[in-house]
Amino acid sequence: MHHLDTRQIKQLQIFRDLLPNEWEQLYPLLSQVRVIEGEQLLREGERAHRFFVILKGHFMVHKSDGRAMTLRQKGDIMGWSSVSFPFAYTASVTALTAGEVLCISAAEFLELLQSNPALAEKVLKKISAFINIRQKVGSLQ
Amino acid sequence: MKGIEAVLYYDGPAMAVLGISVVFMALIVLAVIISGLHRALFFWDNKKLYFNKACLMFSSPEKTPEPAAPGPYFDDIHESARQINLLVHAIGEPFSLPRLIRRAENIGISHAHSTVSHLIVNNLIVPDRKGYFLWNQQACDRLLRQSKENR
Repeated sequence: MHHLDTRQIKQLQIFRDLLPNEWEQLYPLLSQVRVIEGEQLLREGERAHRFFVILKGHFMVHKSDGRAMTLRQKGDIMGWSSVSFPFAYTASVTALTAGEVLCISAAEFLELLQSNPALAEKVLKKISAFINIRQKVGSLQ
Repeated sequence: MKGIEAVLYYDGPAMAVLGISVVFMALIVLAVIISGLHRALFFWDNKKLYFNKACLMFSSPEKTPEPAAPGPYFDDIHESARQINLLVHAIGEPFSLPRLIRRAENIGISHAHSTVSHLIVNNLIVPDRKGYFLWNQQACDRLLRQSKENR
């Protein structure tokens, strides 16, 4: 885990519209994690217990049937199943290069979203927008 | 003249104040020295270390080599492109990216993940928008042409 660059993180698409008090609630849940090339972050079918936001690196989202897509945009999200039904990862994620991600515990994230509807609406809207873009780029559904 | 009168006549109060000041000043100086004594002892105990540091400060700084940028871990994109291209031919198109990486690892291509990442970033491997990938021969030819021109 590493020191968080809050200014950089606040600029990420998913957190951009948060109010200062909402940010203060979310900030303690964030941790920055380094990943190495070939590291598997999520495994398809496993209980979704972590939510990730890309800070640096190139990641492959892949399904067991062989389909895949890659993500390398700063602020892209991975593991959104952790905040939506069925709360199990629908795809695996492997790091193609060394990188850095923001990691949020799904249980804490869900608890925060449930306790703050305004924050939940903002974040879930952003997540939904990410999913829509991904479906346009190359569906893995 | 005797007693207080004599004291006052010979600047007794001033001398008393001066004496007290001198004594207190000496005590302050002593206190400062004692409070800094542990530092002096630490310096004495580590005199070799400080001596080396001082030598480094006065000697000309040596240029340390800059750390190499992390990945991709190959020198020549053409070589990795050639190897992956052969694999793609063997697998057929469109191909599964995880399968390509697995095959690349199996035949001993080092850093298969970052190699494939590099080829994707350079558009040699492109998505077919259905979850599979294609080899972009045009981009590969362009890369080779550019390489020849640069030579």
